[in-house]
Amino acid sequence: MDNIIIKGTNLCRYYKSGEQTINALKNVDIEIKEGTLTILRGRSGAGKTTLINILGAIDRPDAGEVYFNNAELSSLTDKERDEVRRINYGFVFQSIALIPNMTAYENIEFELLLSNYPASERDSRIKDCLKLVGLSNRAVHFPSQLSGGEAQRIAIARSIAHKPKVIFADEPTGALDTKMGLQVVNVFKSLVQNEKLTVVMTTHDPNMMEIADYVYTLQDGEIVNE
Amino acid sequence: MLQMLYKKIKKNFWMVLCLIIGASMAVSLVSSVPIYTKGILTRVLSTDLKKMQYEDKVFPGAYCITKNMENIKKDDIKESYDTINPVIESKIIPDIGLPVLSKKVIFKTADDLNIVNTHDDVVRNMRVEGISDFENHIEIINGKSLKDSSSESGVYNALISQRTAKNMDLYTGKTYELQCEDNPKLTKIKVVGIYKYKDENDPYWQLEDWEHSDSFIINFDDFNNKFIKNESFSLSEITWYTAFDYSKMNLNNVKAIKSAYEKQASLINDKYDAAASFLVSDKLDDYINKESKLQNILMIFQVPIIIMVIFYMIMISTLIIDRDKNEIAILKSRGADKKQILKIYLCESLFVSLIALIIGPPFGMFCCKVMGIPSGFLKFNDRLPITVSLTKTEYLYSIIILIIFIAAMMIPALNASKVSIVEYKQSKVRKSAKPLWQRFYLDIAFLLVSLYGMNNYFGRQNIVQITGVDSSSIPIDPIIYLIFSLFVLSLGMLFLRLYPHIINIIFHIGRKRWSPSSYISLNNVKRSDGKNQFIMIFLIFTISIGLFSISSAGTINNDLENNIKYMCGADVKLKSFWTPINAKTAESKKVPLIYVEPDYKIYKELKGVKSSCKVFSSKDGVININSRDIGKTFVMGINPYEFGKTAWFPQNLLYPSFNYYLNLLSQSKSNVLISNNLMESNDVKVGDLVYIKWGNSRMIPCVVAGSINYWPTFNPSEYLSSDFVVGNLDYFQYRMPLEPYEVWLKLKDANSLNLLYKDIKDKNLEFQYIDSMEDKITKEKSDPTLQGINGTLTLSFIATLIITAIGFLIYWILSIKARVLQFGILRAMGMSLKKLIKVLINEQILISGVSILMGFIIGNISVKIFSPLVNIMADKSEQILPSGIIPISNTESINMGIGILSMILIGLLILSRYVSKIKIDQALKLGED
Ligand SMILES: Nc1ncnc2c1ncn2[C@@H]1O[C@H](COP(=O)(O)OP(=O)(O)O)[C@@H](O)[C@H]1O
Ligand SMILES: [Mg+2]
Repeated sequence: MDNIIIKGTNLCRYYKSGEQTINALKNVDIEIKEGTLTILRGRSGAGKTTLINILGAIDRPDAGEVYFNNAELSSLTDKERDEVRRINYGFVFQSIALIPNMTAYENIEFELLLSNYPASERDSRIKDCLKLVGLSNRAVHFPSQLSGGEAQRIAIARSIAHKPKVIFADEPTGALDTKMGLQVVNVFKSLVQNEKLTVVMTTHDPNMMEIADYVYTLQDGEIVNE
Repeated sequence: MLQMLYKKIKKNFWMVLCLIIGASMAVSLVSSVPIYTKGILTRVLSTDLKKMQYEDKVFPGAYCITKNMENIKKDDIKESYDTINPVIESKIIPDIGLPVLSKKVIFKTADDLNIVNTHDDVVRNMRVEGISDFENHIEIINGKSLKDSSSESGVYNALISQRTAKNMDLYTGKTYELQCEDNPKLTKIKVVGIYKYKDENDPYWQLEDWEHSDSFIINFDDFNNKFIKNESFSLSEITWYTAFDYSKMNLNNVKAIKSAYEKQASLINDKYDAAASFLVSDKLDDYINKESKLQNILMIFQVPIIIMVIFYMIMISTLIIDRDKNEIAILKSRGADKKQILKIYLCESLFVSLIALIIGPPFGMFCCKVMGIPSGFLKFNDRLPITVSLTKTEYLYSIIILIIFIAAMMIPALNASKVSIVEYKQSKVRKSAKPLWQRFYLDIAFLLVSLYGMNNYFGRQNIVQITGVDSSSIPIDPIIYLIFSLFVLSLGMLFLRLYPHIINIIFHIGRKRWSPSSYISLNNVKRSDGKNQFIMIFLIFTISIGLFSISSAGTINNDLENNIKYMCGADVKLKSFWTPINAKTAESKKVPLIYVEPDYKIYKELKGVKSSCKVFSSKDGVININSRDIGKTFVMGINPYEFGKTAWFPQNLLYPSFNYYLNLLSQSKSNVLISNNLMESNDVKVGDLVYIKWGNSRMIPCVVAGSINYWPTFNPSEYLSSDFVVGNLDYFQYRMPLEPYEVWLKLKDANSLNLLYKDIKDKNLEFQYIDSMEDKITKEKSDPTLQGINGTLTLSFIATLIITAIGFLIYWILSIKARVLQFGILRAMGMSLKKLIKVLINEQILISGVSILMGFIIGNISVKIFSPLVNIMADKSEQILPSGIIPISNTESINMGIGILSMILIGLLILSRYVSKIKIDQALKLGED
């Protein structure tokens, strides 16, 4: 149970903008345990997005290593990293990242197609996922016909549809009000409890902290406490 | 404000650059239309004027005012001259508005002055002239010039031309005594020298004054001051001659020159009792006539460019605004009010327009200059230079286009500025509504309007065909272009109405099997949000227009060429010298001339000749039907087999075929074919016996084997009142003494003509005449009007391609830029770059590929329907053959297809490069705020 699924050691990330260099991450060490909900918190600009992108193999660190199930990721080619993301990871973003001209059902279907989910099981899987986020009756709606919270829950349904091991969520509640935000976070909680998923989530909302198993606080690119 | 604008431009640098390129392109295309038209018309004018000078030997800039002085008393001459001369100098000549190359004033006496002291009894009638500025333009070839000669009192020194010296038999150094009618007073004139023109081409000499033959030319001042006062002769006339620089005549001033001249002519006549003549003025009349006709024809091919440019401007600005909606919403959320937002957009579009207005017209002019006048449609070898200039018109056109552009930018901005950020975010992801035109059934409406319009025009075509009204008298109507455009648009829109449904079906058929890339692209097309449809319609439209230019050019050139070929009859036609052996007796005894046949074998042996035949023809034949003589019948005698192999004639011009009729002729020696008109109006049936004759021949009995409408060199419209008979030459020759015939030759290939000419020269052969089809075609094709049409078509075609390419690239670049976030998300979800590029390829196929295909289909359909209409409008009064009897080769259409495909490939390359450079984490940042 206490298996470490993702580990980052000595992670550094610099951004050069003009003359000056911003140290967005400074020698960060982090471990994510399987089957837990981990929250990265911190003020805006603290480096949360940078860190979660590096952990999620979207971005590469300038120094340090990221391990997924003890496999080093930054030495992989772009294509291999695409594969890792496609099969093992799911993503939820701050902006409502559904494909606007696909219905809720189709958005999930697309994810299944992308990860080669067996064609015969797709339909039932989509329905399961919709049920899991409590939106079975919204299958044929377009993202624009959903409220912000509903759309974000569909995004979660999409991110878990292909049964990934880890879900990365960068400020999934950022565009939502507190009530809807809680709804979304509760979905994550139940996923961790019932589906044994691992969730890594960033937020700057202090109200969310109680539900997390682990909380890391970032400040100026460093983890300040555990 | 300016700072805000600066920031906005800096932030969207690429976007604004696209806009500037787009707008400048549109402006240069639109302004190139009048620039090019003017260039062509200028060329037509200058060719006409040069022809006048070099072929008709009339200097087009020659302007003469002649005042008859016969009835003016000697004492009044000076006063009369002094009233009119300043008017001419200071008003008449400057009013024409052309630079003066040269001028002179000529005083002349009457031309009946008699030389009394000659060495023989021949009567010599002479005149005396004084010509201003004379000695600077001559060369003395014998004797001395006036100014070098010493003067004796009471004797006038004079020069004479070579022609005068020769015609009148006069000598240098001799003093002649002149007498006027019965006046006893004698005037002494000494010939001091004989002159010739210093320079034949000096404009000073371009006045037709017969080299001043039979004239003594004395010093101009002496003529005025002494000669007229003191001598008994009276002044006959004064001529003011001005040579204008006619090469400075152009479109902008011809009308002014013409009307200035007309005003002057009547003023000079009424007020000064003199006559003005400006030889070019009639030519200018012709030209002004021709200009308006040609302008109409050229407009046919240019209206579509303008429609296309407008279309393109609207497309680009809609795209930009669509992308900017986000920004407008943000500006609003930061407290900018509606007015401010509109101001920013107005400033931006004014800024873009200003740059476009600065760059566009000169660039258009530059392009026209580079292109020149092609020698044929899309033929750039030996093209001719074109004179280009920028005038108000170009800027007027440009400004109109830019106003449309600004409006196209402002209207969406106005709408967008009304929406708040919250509403915007909600609408952003809302399933887009059906495009406006679909909701209002604009496609159906356009289709109905265009069908109605077409119906109207076809009605006119029938009128032309039935009544034979000269089609050029029907005004050319640019409305036909609107109808054409509407028709193409409506078909395109109808297709687009169906297209998403077709895709939907395909999508559902393979739903379980689609790859992620296909899934996305099919979904994008199926639920297209109007923007896709815009580019699709745009492509369909531009391709149809391109095909239209190609086909119009093809039809015009092809028809022209085929007509020439038909009227020539064969590659080469020649006639030997035939001399009758009984010329004298024949005339007195009224018997036919007898000839010896020149050797016919030599033609077959000439180099480059593939086949040859003898063709006898007579224009004043007579056919006798039912004992009635019908004169002015065109009679032709041929040997069917050789004729069939040699003559140029499309098989399908006659039904069932040309060969069928040749066979009819060869079935029996006495068979003849007669023109349909002859057959119908005289109630002749196949198998009837008729008699034909020509010249002094006897009647030859013949049997009618069939009737025809067309035959090589036979022009049915020309012979509508007279008639046509073809028979067997062998039979004619058997019945009649041998008559001179033409020899027709068919050449082996394109190089054969030169070979043939060389061989003829080598063998020292001489003919009465030898005409080649190729020379005739070359000559026709150098006609400036035709060149102008071809040039305009080329311009319009190239413009189509440019606008398609730029519209295409800008559309796709903008559409990709708008989708960066989506691509980032897809990549984050683990979609590989390869698959993402496959999405782009699929979309190119489903959107661009399909529209291009549809463009070709719809274009071809519309061209089929509309080209007859263009034919009746494109004033082809010399058209004999029905249009399009020989199919046009479609290499140009294929080239266009290849061009467009390579454009798509280039587009794909650029897009793929762009997409592969997208950094996922950066792209995702676009979603935050
Ligand atoms: N592409 C970039 N270029 C330059 N600076 C960047 C870039 N992305 C992030 N930063 C900087 O790195 C720091 C961390 O950013 P980020 O990880 O987005 O913070 P957070 O998500 O906690 O708000 C910030 O100071 C930000 O300005
Ligand atoms: Mg962040």
